[in-house]
Amino acid sequence: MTTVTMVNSVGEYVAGEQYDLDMELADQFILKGYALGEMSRTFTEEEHATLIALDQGVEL
Amino acid sequence: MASQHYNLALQEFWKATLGDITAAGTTVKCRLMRTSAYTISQSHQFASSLPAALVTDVTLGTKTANGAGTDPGCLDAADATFTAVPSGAAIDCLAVFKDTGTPATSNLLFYIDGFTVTPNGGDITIQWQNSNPFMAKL
Repeated sequence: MTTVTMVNSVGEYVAGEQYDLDMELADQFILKGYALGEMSRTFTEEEHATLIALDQGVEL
Repeated sequence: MASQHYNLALQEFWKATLGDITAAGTTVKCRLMRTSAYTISQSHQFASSLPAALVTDVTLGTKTANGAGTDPGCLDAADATFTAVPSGAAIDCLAVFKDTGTPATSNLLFYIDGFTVTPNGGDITIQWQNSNPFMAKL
């Protein structure tokens, strides 16, 4: 487990709050910019690109 | 339709029955929807009028009632990310409501349309405006 501070609100994880998440989810949130915290390892640019490949943003 | 407040929410604002929407203890959620499944009506007061959630509703955080600090009356919050939204028809509207845990008592606040995004199984992040009116202005 690792502690992250949410930047975005993601599902039931509320922005501004801290959560203890399993490493995999924490890494995912940090890599995607949804949370601040310490990743379990260094990810390659390719891994990062794969992770965010399907993600979309909607500017209102 | 155009983005708009629910009049029954405005009524409750005037009666001060909704409390401090920005308080940490107040749960405010956002639901993604399709206009093919939902037509806003000013007779709608509660989340029970909304279609079933397509994906887990997002609980909004870092809420303020003054935009970025200089726009009183503007509700703002951190961007909202819906994870792994199932592929399907375009999503083109959303509603924000004060969640009580029971749809029949969860007051609808406002509705936004005028966007479209086709879910592909990835995450969808709703990026609220960074200027007036931010999410919504009274």
